[in-house]
Amino acid sequence: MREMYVMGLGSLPLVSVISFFVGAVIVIQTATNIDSAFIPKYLIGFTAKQSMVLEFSTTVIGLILVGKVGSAIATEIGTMRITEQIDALEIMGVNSASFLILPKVLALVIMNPILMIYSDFVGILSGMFVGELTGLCPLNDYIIGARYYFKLYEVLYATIKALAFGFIIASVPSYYGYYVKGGAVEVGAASTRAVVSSSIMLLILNYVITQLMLL
Amino acid sequence: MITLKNIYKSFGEREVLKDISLKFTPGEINLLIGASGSGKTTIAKCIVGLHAPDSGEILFDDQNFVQMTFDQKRKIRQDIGFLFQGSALFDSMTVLENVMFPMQMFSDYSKVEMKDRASEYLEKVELSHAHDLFPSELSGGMMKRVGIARAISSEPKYLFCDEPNSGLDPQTSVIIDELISKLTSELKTTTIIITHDMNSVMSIGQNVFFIYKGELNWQGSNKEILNNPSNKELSDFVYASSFLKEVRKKINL
Repeated sequence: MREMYVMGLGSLPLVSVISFFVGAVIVIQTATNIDSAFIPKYLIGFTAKQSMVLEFSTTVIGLILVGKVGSAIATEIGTMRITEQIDALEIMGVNSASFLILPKVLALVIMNPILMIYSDFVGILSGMFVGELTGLCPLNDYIIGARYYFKLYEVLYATIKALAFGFIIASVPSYYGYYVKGGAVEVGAASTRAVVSSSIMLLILNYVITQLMLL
Repeated sequence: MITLKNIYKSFGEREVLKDISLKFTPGEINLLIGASGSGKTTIAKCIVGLHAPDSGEILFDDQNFVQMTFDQKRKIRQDIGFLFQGSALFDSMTVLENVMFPMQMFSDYSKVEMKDRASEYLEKVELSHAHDLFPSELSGGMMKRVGIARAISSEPKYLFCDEPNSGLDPQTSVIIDELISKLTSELKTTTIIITHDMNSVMSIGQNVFFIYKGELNWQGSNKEILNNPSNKELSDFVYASSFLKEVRKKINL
């Protein structure tokens, strides 16, 4: 529960700010790029919804969480390793990997899809708000677009991505932190390696899941 | 009783322990002394299973720890308390939670009982006032004392202390030595202290093992340690400080 609170709820402010502005920017960019009388306005709402649900709320938020939560996990576990706290657990007969890593993996696998859904809502609502405020997309058109061609399968696809990304964001940095050797410099280096590796793995997995589920 | 038979350990090409055989005296303080890098800590880490020896036997009451399964090792480890050089307190827990932790893992005590017992151990190390402090709020000496309280909270048969005096001033070092000595006799633990502090050797060194370049060079008591001028390595170690060198000159040892 503590891990869910720290890693999940602790990320809400960041996810809120980013989702809000990205939703708003998607609406402005889409509106300015499809400035044609033949293209209906509701496509702006449709594009915002599709962008948020299919890619932004899972992959982009995932990459941001790798930077925020992943580096924190690698640093926390790495520091525990170099200050012999992990050795202390081992000597007490505690399975340190299970004790330290499993709660983090479970917390992020549970919390990442929740953050994804939250990000979808914030992004779509901010787009609606900005569309109405700037007059680029009237409220009714936006709502029609956001509801248009809604496929539950796409939400399932996004949820599966969020679950898989949650696993990567917790497990890869945990691995780098757990096996760190040396001192503070090595912990920093492990944290950097963890973020880079997790990001690459996340992008590769994003491609694989997308090809498997959407093609 | 802990017995080591022909222990060898290397890290890559570097041979750290060479044919270490020794027997720790049960219920008393045993000191592993030697220069930094001589292999003292490696011996302790092999005994508790943090390092696996390349060959040899580590016997806990005639049971070979090296060949035990994970569950058997886990059982033995419940009888071990370990004070780390840097104390290794859990940063995210308060002092009281740190001391309660081993009980939470292995005992059937209720939460209230655990709290009471942890308070009792903190009282033994004279830290009753520090229950709610976090490790980052403690001084070096206080951290060592919390580490000792945590190490003894599982009522271990064996207490390991890795350089308990490192980084402490001479007065606090004496307090820590006295505390370990008092707890050893009160709890009847077999205490193994890794140190290169000659003050500790002289005040609490009932059984001393001198490790030199990964080998057991000498063993005896602190009373015998000064009477070995023929053992050059031991003599050089004991009289390393310029103060003792002067004393030695004066008394013509």
